[in-house]
Amino acid sequence: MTDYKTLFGKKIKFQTSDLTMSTATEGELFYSDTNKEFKVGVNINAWASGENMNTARRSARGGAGTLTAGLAMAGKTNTAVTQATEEYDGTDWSTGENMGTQRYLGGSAGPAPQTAALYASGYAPGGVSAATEEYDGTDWSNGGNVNTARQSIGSTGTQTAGLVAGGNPGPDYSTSVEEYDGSSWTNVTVLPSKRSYLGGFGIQTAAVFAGGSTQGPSAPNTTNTGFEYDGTNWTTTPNMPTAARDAAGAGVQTSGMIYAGAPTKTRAMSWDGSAWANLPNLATDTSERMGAGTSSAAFAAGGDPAPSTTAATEEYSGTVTLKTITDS
Amino acid sequence: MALFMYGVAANTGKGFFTAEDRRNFFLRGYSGHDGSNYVDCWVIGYNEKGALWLAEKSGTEKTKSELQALVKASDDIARTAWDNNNVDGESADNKVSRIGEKPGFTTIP
Repeated sequence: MTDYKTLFGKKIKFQTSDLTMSTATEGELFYSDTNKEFKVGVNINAWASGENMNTARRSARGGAGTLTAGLAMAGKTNTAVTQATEEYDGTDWSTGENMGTQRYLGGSAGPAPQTAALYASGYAPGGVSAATEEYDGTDWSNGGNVNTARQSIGSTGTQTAGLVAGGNPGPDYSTSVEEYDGSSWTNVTVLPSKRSYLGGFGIQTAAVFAGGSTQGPSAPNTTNTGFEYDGTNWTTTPNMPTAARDAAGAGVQTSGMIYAGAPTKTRAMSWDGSAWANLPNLATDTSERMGAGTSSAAFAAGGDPAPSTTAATEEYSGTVTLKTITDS
Repeated sequence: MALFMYGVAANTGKGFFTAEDRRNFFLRGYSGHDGSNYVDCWVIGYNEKGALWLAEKSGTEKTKSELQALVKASDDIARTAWDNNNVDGESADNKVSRIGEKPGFTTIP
């Protein structure tokens, strides 16, 4: 009969006490003398329910921050366009200061921290808006207007280095790209093709935008193609496994994710800088969500068309859990 | 052998379903409407842990056709709301720009 050392070339570690979940690594096998048991670290990547927001909303495209210091801004409730801001600490949503203007389908700087957020352009009651607002964790203040007012934008970056791409200024989709320096927006190299409802992540000089719609509003064509931006030029990425429109994004250019886009609303996909792969699915079949975070800890909040707009939140995390090895 | 069971249970937020639950059984949620209120509809992997989860969440088991009817009722409301949301003189393109595409119908697995 063979043994573990013969198969794998090393002995099983003998631990006088359990490893903790933070010190164990996936696949690490050890003998726990405390429990007299063999144990292994199992990595569980999954979406779990988070706390419900105070204001149910959709179409915000207004997520920022991290899973434990997140921000939700703007959007539509079942009855109105909202200015509401909420802050998430990984456990509860609390009310923040209202934005100065009611808007939805604008663009937030997803990687921006909860205390230095940005929301640009979008649809305000009456039409598209060029307004930019900046949040300092307490108050919203006006920033510089975008050059091309539009809605359904791809957006990422930070409050002092923001990036918006594509969108719909009406009547047609746009290729326009603008960079923000904390006070004004500058037109830069345009997208390779017209596109709206892009999902995005990364920073101003290393960003990814993927998915979205490639045709006009009444005949949208959801795509699985994507682009990378290096601060100067755009290049195409390999295609995502699934087309996604109005998806949320999280992470950085070398480790990001796109998730909760229509029509396959539970789909989440990772990007490692060169290839896309499927991640575990979200649980709820909900579109028009907002999200932010990293590729290993992100949130998706709100969504769904009126009048069933939801306040529900899902949290994505990868954690190593210790499992006892049994003979059954 | 059935792959799924079906039920309704109010999503109470944090902890309602955990990463461990997601690993133990299939779970997918949909918006439904029972004629009076919106209800959270769930398609659940048909195993012991899935059944226990629904029971622990004070859920009510439904048949597939019952759950599909609840989901369709929610879809119908959303589609009617979309049809009725009009602005005088607005083009079809502008309507879609303003409120998005008309919601479709959902088919549960």
